[in-house]
Amino acid sequence: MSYELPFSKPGGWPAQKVILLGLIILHAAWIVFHLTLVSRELINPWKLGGYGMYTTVHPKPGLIVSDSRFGSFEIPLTDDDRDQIARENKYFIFRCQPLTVASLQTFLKNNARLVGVPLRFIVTEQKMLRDPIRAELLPHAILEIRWTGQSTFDYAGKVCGKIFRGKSELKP
Amino acid sequence: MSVQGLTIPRLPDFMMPVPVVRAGEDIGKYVRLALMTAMLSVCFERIPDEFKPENFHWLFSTALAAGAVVALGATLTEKYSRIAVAVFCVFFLYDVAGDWAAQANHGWLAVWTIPLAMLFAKWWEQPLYADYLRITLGIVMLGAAAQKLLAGTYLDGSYIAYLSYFGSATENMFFVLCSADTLNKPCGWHKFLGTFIVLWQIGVGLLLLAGVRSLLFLTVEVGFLLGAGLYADEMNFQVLNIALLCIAFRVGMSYGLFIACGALLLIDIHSIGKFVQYVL
Repeated sequence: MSYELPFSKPGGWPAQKVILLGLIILHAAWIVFHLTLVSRELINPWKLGGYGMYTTVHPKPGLIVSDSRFGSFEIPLTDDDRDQIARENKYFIFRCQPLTVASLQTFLKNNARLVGVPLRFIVTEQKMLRDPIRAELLPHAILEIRWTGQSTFDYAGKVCGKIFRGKSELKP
Repeated sequence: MSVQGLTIPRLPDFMMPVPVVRAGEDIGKYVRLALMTAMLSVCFERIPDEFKPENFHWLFSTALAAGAVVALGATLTEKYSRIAVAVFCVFFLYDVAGDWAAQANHGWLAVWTIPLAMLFAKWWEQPLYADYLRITLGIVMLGAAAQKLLAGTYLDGSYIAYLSYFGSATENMFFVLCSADTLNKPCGWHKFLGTFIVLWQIGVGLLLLAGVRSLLFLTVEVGFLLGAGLYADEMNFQVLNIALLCIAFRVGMSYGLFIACGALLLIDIHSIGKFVQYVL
């Protein structure tokens, strides 16, 4: 067995050594920062290179869209719709990030039949629960759209206990 | 076979975890094989996305596959290894940058490790690159253990208990150890397994940082990673780790281990669980 200190053969400090040492420090700092974000439940622990996979169930973020006039009446979404919204919301890895306006605009552009319909978007996450140990899909964020004109709408919602609201219009 | 003062039983050459180098033989080819395997794991991780029917464009997909084969092949050669790694990394890093939010953790580990080989003309001879990989893997092991401690689901056995009853075909292999009551109060075996995994990761991380290069340590760790990959039904990260460890330990990868890793990557495309179910 041999015991060596990191970078055991000094031999000066060529550029490569400086770069590699810098990357090691950066990598370690990122992991600590990632741990901090996970501890505050701000990100999905499975993503962003913090090596937090298999620490809890995969959140498997999902999306339910419903017509708010009819309670929980769910509007069927295509796989393309789901992929598009997920991609434009960074796959929901930033857990406290509201749904982006751009993703709403794209969704409405691709689903012209829903223009004028008051919509409710619910982002769900799978969470590990105890007593007994199990996983359940729970609502995590909500956003509602109210139309103020033929192509303009207000939106309001709640994520991580924070309320957000704004105005937007359909892009041609 | 005696390695650095430690004697382990002599096995047939093809069963050895590290190459059995003959007198005068260049160990470099085995180290290049290890990096090629790491790059192969990156390719296999991307196969499901790049070759999905809706993403499949025959000309682009064929060119991509052919390019990958040429780059991987050239990585094995002494003359073109560095340029092959560079070409591979241009496409790999472009792909990562294009969809960074979707990257799994093995993708990120590959970003931190593989491209740095480009810094050296003969990276396979560079103790500095090997040291970099060793320390990086040590930090990753400690980081993974810290995440498990933070989640609080390992020391109390709750995650193992969850997987044992709700996991995939391979993840539920430990359900036989405990009754269903483990879901109300994790049983001793599930607590033991959770605690063992965390302690193992901490131990491996510390030994890597300390620079322990025992062949026995490498063999046990490779075995553990293969076992963890089978358990979690996820081989890409494990193969990447194994390949990088082979470089970090400066011994390279044996042909036997390469064949085993390649076979597991192939099976992993459709998941090991489905393969087991098919065989059984």
